[in-house]
Amino acid sequence: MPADDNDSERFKALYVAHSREVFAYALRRLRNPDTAADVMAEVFTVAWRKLNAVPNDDSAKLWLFGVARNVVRNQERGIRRRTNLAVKLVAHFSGIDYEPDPAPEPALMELVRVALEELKEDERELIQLVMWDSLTPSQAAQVVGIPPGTVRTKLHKARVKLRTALMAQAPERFFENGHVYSGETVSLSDTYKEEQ
Amino acid sequence: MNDNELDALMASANPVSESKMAALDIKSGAEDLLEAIMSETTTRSYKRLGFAGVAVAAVAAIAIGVTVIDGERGAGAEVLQLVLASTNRSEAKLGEEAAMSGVGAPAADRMYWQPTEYSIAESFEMPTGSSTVWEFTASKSERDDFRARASEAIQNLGGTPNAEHIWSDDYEPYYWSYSDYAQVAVSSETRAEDGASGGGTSGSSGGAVDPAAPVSEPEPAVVDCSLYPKDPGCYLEEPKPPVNVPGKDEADDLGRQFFEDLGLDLSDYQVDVYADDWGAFVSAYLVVNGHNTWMGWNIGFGENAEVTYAGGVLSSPRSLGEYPLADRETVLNRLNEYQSVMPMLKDGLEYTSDVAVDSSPVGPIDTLTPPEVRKVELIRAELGLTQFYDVNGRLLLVPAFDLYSKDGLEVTILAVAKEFVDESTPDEAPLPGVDTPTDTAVPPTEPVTSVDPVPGDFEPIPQDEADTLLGLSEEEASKVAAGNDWVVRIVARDGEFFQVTSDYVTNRVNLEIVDGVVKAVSVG
Repeated sequence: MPADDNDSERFKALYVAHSREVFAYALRRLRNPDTAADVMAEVFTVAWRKLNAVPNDDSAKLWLFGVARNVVRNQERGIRRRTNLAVKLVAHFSGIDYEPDPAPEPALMELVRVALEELKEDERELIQLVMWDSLTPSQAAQVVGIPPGTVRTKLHKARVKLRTALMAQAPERFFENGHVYSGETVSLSDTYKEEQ
Repeated sequence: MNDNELDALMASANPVSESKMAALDIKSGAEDLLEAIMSETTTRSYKRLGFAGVAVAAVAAIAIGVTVIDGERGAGAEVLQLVLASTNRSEAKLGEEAAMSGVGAPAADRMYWQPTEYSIAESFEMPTGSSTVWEFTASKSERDDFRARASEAIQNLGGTPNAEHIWSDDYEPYYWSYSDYAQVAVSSETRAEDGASGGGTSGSSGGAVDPAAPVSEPEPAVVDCSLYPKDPGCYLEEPKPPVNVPGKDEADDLGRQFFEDLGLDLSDYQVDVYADDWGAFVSAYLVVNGHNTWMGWNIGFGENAEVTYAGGVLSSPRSLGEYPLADRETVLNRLNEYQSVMPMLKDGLEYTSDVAVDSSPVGPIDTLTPPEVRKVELIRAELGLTQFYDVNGRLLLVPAFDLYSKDGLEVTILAVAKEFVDESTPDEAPLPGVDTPTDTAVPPTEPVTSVDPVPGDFEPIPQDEADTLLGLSEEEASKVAAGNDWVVRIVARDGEFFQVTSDYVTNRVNLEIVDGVVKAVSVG
């Protein structure tokens, strides 16, 4: 375990630079601030223990995301570690207003959540890394540990699958030509009637 | 829906938008977090190491940092696919069968464990939390460099590291050993079997010599020479101690010179020395996170301080990630299901039942009494590490619990939570001579991860066919085996048992050679 002042300073800098991103990463996937706090506690504990392995450049964020990804997967498997540290962090985060602003339409969030479930785990992660965590495909490749070329191929397939899943799940939300309808839900029968 | 619309849709469904993320009020500052982490880690170290005070534990926590070698991203997610097939309960069953039949099982008199029913006392809490799994890894060039340094270090001590004396091949890329028993064959052989050979491929042959443990003289072998005239105990002369064997201090100096020539940083190792009239042995065991890994390097000296043995691992541990620890129920299940996964003493010696198994031919099976089942209550657990191979051939150091009964250390068992260990293989793998494979074998439950054996294509060489090699010369046996497309592995020669991998290969025969003749054959 690193223990000298330089390590402490470096750790603090990492935390200041990336804690929000790590927390948001976990929150986007788990949608619960308590479990996101668990994840964050675990990620930064790992970072402290393995500080020498954390890159010194911009890819430190990607390293943290890589750890976060694994911790989230553990959480999703039902393996939840509630350490004293996590308890303390949860207390800190308990007052966070984490509801997005402006809040997305709940039905839309649910529609997307279900559509994402249709994707394979790595496809889903890549889509979220690029579309929600604002990583480039190359950065996403580093997080999931596969070649950038493969990521681009997977992303393409994932987008097609996602689009298909969205359309199949809620055809009434879209016009037949596939464009998003930017208003209230229109029933499929109404759409057909208009086109007829 | 075009790409732009999909992007817009996804952006509007982002549970935490970029602007919202920037506004997140994370009240816990880095100082608080660091303090909490330090506190948490120190508490864990204290609990794990059982030290008498937090202050000591804090020192230990700092010391841990010394041995953490290049942690890696990707912590903790990989499900371990450990090679348990050769050390699962089937093998215990094999031993049980052997105990009842007295014949027919490979090396039954050495591999037998008495069936034991374990319970865990309510009064103690199993260690909780997580622990690191380490992978021993090195590139080919790194291993080659290590081999070169090892040969040079042997040479510096007057040894002759030629091909005859060095054992290291692509099948065991992580181990290297040198042995020159020509000088003091008998004493070295005795010592080698007594646990000083080191660097074994299973947890039970780690080659450890615990300096704190009482060292007893090896019991003289009791062998009926009329039945086994070629047993080493029957044809070798009474050994005499070699002369000018280095004492403990001299051996310590020589050993440290060897380790330093190898390039080991001894601050990361625990150095043990043992010396008696027959030889002197120095071991450097790598300490990781405060746990002795019982892996590292060792060297033995005989007459006139000649190097008789040296060996060790060619790679360094790197973190594979943090893994949650198994709970009480999992531990208990493993203890009672996989009785021989790791029933070994802490010093690395094999667990030996006090219910002896007579390897000599005996009467009909139905006249024999099944071995008695021991009942053991476990009262204490300590977290440590032990070694496994995974199905991809990686050498891993995996968290393990040392479990104690009132009589002391009883058993060591895998401590990784069940969600992270694929345990499907052991339950399904049949064993030759015990569970005869049939066409109606039940396929393994998902996930299927075993590589070999797989129930569907598990067709081991029948033992009675393998037994046709008995009594043949090594050369003749090799020819017969080759004619049958069998793979030959020599596991012992003239009483010296070699380090072998614990995997099971269906078309492999393991031969024990005495005086150039096949004395025992096993399949696997």
